[in-house]
Amino acid sequence: MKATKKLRRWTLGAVAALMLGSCDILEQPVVNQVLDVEALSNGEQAIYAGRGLMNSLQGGGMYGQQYITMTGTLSDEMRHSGSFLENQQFDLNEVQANNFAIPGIYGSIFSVAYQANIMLERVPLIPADKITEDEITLVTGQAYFARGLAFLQGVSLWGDFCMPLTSDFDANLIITRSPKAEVLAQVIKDFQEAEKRLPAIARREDRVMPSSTAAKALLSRVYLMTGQYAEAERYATEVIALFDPLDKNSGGRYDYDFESLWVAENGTSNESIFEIAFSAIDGNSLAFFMERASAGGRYEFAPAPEILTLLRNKGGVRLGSSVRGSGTTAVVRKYRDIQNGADRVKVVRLAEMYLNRAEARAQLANRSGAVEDLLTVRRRAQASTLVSGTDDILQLIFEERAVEFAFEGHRWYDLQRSGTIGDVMGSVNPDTWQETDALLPIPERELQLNPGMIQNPGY
Amino acid sequence: MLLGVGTSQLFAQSTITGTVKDSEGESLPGATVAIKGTQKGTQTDIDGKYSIEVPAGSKFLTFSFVGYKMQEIEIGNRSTIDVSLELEGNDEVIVTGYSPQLKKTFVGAASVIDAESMEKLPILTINQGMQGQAAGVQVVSSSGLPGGGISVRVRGQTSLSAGNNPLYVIDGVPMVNGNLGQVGFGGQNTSSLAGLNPDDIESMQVLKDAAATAIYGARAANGVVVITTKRGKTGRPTISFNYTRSWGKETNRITMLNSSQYATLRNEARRNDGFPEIAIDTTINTNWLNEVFKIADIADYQVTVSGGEGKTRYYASVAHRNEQAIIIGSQFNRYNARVNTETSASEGFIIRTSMAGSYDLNNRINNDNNIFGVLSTAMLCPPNVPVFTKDGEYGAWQFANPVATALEPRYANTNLKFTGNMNFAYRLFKGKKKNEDLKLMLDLSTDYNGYIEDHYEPPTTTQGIPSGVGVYTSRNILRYVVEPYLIYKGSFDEDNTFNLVAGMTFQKTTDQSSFTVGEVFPTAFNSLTYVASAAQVNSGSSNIDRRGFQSYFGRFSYSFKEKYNVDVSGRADGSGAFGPDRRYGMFWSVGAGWIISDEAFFEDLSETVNLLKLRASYGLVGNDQIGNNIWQKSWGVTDYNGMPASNVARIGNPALSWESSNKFDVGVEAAFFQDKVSVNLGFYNTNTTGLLFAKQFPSSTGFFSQTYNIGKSNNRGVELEVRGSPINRSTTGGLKWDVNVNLAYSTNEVVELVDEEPIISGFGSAVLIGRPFNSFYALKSTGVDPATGNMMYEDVNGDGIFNQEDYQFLGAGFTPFYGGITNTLSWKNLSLDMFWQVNIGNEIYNSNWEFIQSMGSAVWNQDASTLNRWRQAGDVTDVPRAGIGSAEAVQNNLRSSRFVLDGSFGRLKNLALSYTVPKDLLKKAKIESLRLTLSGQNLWTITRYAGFDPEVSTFGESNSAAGTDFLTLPQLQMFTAGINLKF
Repeated sequence: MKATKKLRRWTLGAVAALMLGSCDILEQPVVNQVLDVEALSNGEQAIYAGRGLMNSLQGGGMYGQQYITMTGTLSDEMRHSGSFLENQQFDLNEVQANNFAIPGIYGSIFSVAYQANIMLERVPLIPADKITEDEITLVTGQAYFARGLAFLQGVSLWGDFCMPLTSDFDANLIITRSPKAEVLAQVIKDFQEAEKRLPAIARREDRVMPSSTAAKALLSRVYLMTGQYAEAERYATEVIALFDPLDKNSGGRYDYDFESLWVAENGTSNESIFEIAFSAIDGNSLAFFMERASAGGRYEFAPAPEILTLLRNKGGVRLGSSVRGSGTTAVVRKYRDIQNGADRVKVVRLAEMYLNRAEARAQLANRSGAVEDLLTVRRRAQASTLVSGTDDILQLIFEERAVEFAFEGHRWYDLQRSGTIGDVMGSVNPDTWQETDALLPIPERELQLNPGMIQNPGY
Repeated sequence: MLLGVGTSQLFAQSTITGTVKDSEGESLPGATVAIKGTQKGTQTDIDGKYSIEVPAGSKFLTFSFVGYKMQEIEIGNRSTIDVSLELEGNDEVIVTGYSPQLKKTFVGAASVIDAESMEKLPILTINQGMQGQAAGVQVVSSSGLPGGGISVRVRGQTSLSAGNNPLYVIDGVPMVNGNLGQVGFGGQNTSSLAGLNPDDIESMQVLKDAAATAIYGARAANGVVVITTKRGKTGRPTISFNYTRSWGKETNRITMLNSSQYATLRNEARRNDGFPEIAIDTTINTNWLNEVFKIADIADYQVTVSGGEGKTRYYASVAHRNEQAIIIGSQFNRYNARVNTETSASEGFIIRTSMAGSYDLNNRINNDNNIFGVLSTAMLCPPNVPVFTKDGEYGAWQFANPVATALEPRYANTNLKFTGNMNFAYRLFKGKKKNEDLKLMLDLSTDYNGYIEDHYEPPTTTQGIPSGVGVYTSRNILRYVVEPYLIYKGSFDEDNTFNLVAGMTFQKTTDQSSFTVGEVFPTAFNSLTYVASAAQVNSGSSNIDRRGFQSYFGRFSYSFKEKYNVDVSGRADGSGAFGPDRRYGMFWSVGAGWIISDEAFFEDLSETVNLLKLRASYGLVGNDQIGNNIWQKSWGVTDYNGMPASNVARIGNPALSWESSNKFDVGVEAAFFQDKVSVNLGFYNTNTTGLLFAKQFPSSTGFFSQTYNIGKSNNRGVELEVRGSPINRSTTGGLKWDVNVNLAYSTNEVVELVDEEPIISGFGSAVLIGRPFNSFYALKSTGVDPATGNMMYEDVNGDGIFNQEDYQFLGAGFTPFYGGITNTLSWKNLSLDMFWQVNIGNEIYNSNWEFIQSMGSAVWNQDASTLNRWRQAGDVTDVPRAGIGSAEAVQNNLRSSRFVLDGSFGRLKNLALSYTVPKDLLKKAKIESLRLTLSGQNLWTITRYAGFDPEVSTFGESNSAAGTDFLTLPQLQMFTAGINLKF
């Protein structure tokens, strides 16, 4: 009896204790994310955020895949050899507004812009004891660069483009498309800001982060788009001056060897100006999508017959580095790391400076200057240096771009800029090509969610 | 007899003797026989016999035993009193939240599933056992692969983004449910409940309405399945041995083209689109489906020991199941062990323990929503590719060789599971009035799952090229629960009784996960296939997710003469998954019941209608099955170029809170002719608001979406359960016929979301306002044009383009009418069970046809329906012309109603013949009982569906794309033999 009474008392006591001292079981530590208010509070965190911008550019909807494969299949450079319906639409230039891949490509641009805007707004406000001036300059420079690059891609693919320049959520909910010229003007401003703040390339490894060299290089590209050819020539010249001349041996090693651009294990080539880093632990799927199934790939994208012919006739050493095989079993060879996906994606490299300047000079009626730059590129590729006096120099330059930058995500933009997109794509896809296909459709969801948005013609 | 009476009168004391037995005639040793109102008593001996001295004037003897209903017997003039005690039977009691309630006074809606009939089915998991057994409970097995996901819906789907599975409470343990795997495997899921042994189940109840479930609060919106496992009976230990063996094949197989049909089709396609014909080798003719399908072989062994002595009873079981699937490369092995005890530690202090452990090994294949899977490649691979070439290599084609896909990789998933509960029931005091007491209860529960995925893909597979890929993941989920509560049974007087429950719940779930990927294996050594031997280990991660849950609950039930019953319950649930301002949710219910048949005016009818009960309830319950921490505006960190990189992850929503379901239920329960037939008819209406929903933003904001509470859904329906024994001559050795019918008819509607726009999902699915979840939304095809052989579609907006603007509602993966009918015929020692399942009114999106009837690929094989294709002008058919790559060919294969098929079916799910060997034949061998069973499962299916199997849902756990069939393995048709032996 006594034992039971004691037990009774103990149990009651235990229960009472349980009921009163309820441990705070609801607050549990979170180990894989940080609150927004804590994320940008010192210099080191700002540096993380700057890298985060590059991390976004690595995404599959950007340089991680689509900027290469979508633009490749839209143009006459790649053909779709796989099973995903959205890629088939690119290949036939029959892109629907409800294409599965488009919203991700479209949205990725704004993720970069949003983070850049937040950084531009908050980093300069971090107290001086938590961040140095140099860090502020560097990180804001990276933000301008990333935003400029993101909007550049947007305006090139869609034409008029929404341009959120603040992180104001409510304003961005209803923002509508800005005219193409305004967007390009903003891109130029962003790259100029970046150029002022970022360091020049000093070491090999600097190429995977934004630099003032890269900002200049991209400015030469943008000025071609806006028709400001003198500016384009000027910036291209500035960048070229920062590099050893292309055909001079430097220390016994031929740094601008074309093949070494594509060998992932070697790291970067000194010709590269800005590239997106990938590694064995942080890879992309480009090699996987390009390689044949028998070698472990998915063979979703293959070289188109037109580019194969061009590479064979005019490629020089670029043929072997760019493709493998021929005909319907040819394989894109610029992305080879099927094991790890560590192929770095080149955004801009030295050869483009020569071809940008050639194009600018040609437009400025400086034929001999244009030819000189064209031949520099050809010589490096050990391709024929024959140019006859009656050749259309611009046509040769665009052809050279097609060969030099095959499968690097340039061709679609080059076609638009050259004014020949109608003729070229019209003969590739005679049944389905329409003039309005030069621009992508705004994703259907955007039109539904923001009634102020207007669709591109033809969709 | 006369002598006995005289003796007692003379000596003022008499001796009463007798035997105490249980309802099956077994003697009960150790039962207590006492003189009511005194402390005098005795116990029965090993044969159940007792002898007690009773003073004159004593009126009653009480007979009691743990686990049995106490009986008071009037002594009268007798000197021998034999008693038969009844188990505290489960058909009289509904196990509702935290305290059992009498079925009679219960005011809620609950379905009781007959555990005994479940035992007769060779099922793998407990939720399979619920199929077709309870009105309003729909169980769909996503695919025929063993150990895979099973979706269970109680009174329809309420949620779009949160979970829709019910809460499972097993012996008081709220189980961790859901997919445990980390590796994406097409649509296949794993189920954490697959480790439980269905044969251990004593009772299974599905609680459906607010009155029954509100005490479970935020976990109750999708119903609660309450399961208790066997405890054992007191007496001599019983050892039982059960062995079943099943052989099975797929319920249905579609036919693909053979080599010459394939060659004809390909060249016809080329001709039609203006391409020259090519030479196609037809010397090899492989029937790939033959190569991958095989006979399934399932063996199930179980040994149980149960018994009890004095104050303790126990049940222990050990079981093993080995399941070889109907497709090569797939098998499932499970080992179970369980020990349950119940002890009366002292007067009024009962301790129950339930411990179960299991280990299961699932050797999986790539399949189901995976174009590189075994069944998928077997369907798509051209018939002129050999299984093996002359050199002994696997025959190659665009994707991987189907047989290689099945046999070459290792996908070995193991789950180590432990579930345990200790329940202390301590009576604090016992009142003077009958049945009055206050008990203190404490439940300590744990559920542990240790899930490992051990995968290796050699270079002979597509994924393993060029030198193998090994993935090893590990996940440990530990949940512990501490629940103290009080149960007070009291009364104001004889007629007014009440029951009060009040308590708290503390729960913590810790989910630890990690994975490692190794590449570049030494393929010169076949045996080195673990990451330890990989030359490159480049990817890995680990994470820990913790979730706390804290609640206060209570229930008050009041009964007047057991005729008028009222029940009020409530619960306050707090969860760390919601923002600090919305941490706690309040849930409640009110219910009432009226036993009309107890009324005076009903007396004349009571011969025919012995029970007529009316019940109704209304309440609010919640759904907390969403991810952790999604209310926070947060950044995440990954890497760039080998260094930390931070990115904005989520815009956040500090007002994120529960999904709430308002449930209204009304029902009539009746029993006729002294319980010969019983009927339970109910109607319910559930409105769910605050649906957690990813509100979409324009991308210009920098975000795609954020979870808000912004939707509404409705589920309404009628449920009918009828049980009866129309013929019952068993007492005279004649025929007994039992019928058990349950049917449900319901509607399901997405009432409101953010806007009217359809949300496209899966392949042909969409969420549409005003329609059920899982609707199908695509073009409406109006047939094949006999002149051109092209597909015609309805151009809703008349713009000449066929695109999403012309999409219409075409049906849904929602079943309005479903149920099960079980007939049991028993005659002497034979019994025949027949269980039919019906599912009427749903559609299936046959996505397979988008691949094997489309005739659009240059390579893929097609199914036999393409033999009916249009070939020349004037042909009238529903399969368009063959084509390859032309714009017309693309247009012939747009997403349309061509792929939306009627998925209704009726299926003979179980037909079983059992023979119980007569007891006298067994006495010599000292065997207590021997039962032999021959049965067949899924023997006959009546359906119009042209795919493999109408019971399919590739995206099994999807809330918007259920009812799709995409390269998914069909169910099994089995023949089973079983033997059950008891010593």
